[in-house]
Amino acid sequence: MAIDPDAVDQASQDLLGIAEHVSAASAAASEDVVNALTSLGVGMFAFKDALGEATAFWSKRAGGSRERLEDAAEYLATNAAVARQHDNDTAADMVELEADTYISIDQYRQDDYYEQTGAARPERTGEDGAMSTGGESVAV
Amino acid sequence: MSELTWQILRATDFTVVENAAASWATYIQTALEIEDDVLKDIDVLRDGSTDFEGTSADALRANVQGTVGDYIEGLGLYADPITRILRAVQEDLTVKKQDLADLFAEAGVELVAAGGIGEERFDIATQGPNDYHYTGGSNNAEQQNERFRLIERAEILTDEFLAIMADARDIDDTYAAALRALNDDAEPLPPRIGEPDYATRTAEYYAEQYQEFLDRVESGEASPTETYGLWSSLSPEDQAQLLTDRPELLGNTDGIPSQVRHDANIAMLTDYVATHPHDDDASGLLQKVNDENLMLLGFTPESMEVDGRDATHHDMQCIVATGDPDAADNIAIYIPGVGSDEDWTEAMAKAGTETYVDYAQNLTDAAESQDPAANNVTVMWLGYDAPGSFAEGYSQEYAEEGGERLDQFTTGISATNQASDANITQIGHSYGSTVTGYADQTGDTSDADQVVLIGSPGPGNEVDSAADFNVGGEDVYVSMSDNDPINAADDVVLGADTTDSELFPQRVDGGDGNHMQYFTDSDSLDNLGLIITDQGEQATRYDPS
Repeated sequence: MAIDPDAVDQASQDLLGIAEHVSAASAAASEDVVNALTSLGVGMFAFKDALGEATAFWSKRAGGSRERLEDAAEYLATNAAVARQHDNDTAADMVELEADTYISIDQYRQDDYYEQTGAARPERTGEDGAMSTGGESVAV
Repeated sequence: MSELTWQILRATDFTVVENAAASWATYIQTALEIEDDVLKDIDVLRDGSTDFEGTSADALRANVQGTVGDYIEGLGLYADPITRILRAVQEDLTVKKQDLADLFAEAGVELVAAGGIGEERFDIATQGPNDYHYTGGSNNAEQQNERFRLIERAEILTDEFLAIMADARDIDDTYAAALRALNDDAEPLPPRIGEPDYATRTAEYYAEQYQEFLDRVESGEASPTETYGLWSSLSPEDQAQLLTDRPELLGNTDGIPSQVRHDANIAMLTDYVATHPHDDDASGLLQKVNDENLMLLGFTPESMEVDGRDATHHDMQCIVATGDPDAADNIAIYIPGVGSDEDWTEAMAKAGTETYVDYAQNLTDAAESQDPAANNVTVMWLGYDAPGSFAEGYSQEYAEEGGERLDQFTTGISATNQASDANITQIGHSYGSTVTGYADQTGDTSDADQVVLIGSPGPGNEVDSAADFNVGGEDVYVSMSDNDPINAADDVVLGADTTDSELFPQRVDGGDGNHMQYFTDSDSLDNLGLIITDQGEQATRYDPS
């Protein structure tokens, strides 16, 4: 793997910002729709209740997209951190990593991100070890 | 089940539903920008980035492209229909509300509405606002007759009342069911990097995506934007396999990246020329595209369709670009008119299709001279069956059908273009301007940034003036030479007169050539170059003196 740690770190940060926006925008849009229809009282129209379900489904799915973009951002940051640790030539932008040095995408685990970058682990709120996949739960 | 009452239907202002639809539509448009934000603006995530190289880097990019592709596809499948459903709710329930208002007006003061759900009825009023009195029980024959008449009216109007409310509740239920159905059988999201068995799950996911792509694109159900999402969510290996196995599926499908379309069309055209050595149109096209490094974004050979006893001849259709529109900052889509697909070298006593490709190059050169720093590309778009004679050119059917296709093509180019804010100009010449008018009116919006109507016999019956265009009146330019016979024709029948400055105020100088010289005349080309490069405000205006 050849990597420019600064460029990859920047890409990671940009991707995290976009990921945050993806779910925030869908939540805001759902709220706007609800607000626009406040004059239609609860239970008056069947379509209004169904609309709430449809926008909630979409928001949940957008949340799943957000998680996937965050995973990608963390993978980028992880290998940028690995590259910095193995950068012996500070004058060069690019760092070459051997196969046994970088973390391949198939072997990568989220723990690698925290170990390599030193980022603080979030407090777990759900079942231990559960990973949200936008509606599904996968034991890890 | 809907519990909509007549009191609620009568009192509801359904413009709030349209407001909700508009708000959601705005969100969708903004959400679609994720493609630019992620895949175009983050250099590391672009294919071929030199800042992050290797197998895992490529796999990471494929994963992100898949996630973004899935998100865009999801917007089309699960989010965008909400807008359409809300608009349908607003429209249909507004009609029922009006039906109810008309019924109540007909009932007047003599009858009053009553009853709950499914039991709506009209009763005879005992006292109305105009002091109407009916007390009943009289032996007076006239009053008895009046009573019978009222009962009969009440029964008739009650039937209508019941029908209107049943329809309204049915509408409510139907759209509620449509909204709930949006998440039925939802496609799985792409695998997450870091999850167990990521490699296996990724392989399974790509296999499902491959089938999904085939199902939706082959059936024609996917919009160009969805198609781009579906394509992006395929693995690089599957994309390469499709190009080899199914060039006919990729070559003419809007939303497929331009380079892929080109490769698919060249493969098909090469095969076609080998098996049809006497088709001079096809061999001429292949030679020109190869000799001049053009891109072939669409190709359909000449055909004869037989439908029952009717046989319909279609000329060869082709879409040729002077460069890669997906990499362009300024894209002009040039649409020729009557007879332009008739023959490769010469048709209808004028130039054949080959010349229109040369005109496209002239437009690119004009754009280059006005903005040399930008990447400028012109697409000669003959993706429609142009009228084969001037007599056929009086029909708007060709434009209606072609307009829909042009709109699809433009939407596809907008989706596949990799520049962060490409400027797209549709330039319709002659009958092509009518096609352009119809394209603008397909759907509620246009992905073109501006249109130019040149030597136009009219933009079609869907628009009465520049202000009616979805691109916005200030972005509608017209050009007409004083020496163009179309200008002098009294029988321009394809819609509004584009030389009427009240209707089309942005008339630029089209030079002093004839109907076929707008793309060789230097004054005309200078102005077109300015418009293509988004500097239309500097174009020389038409001076009648």
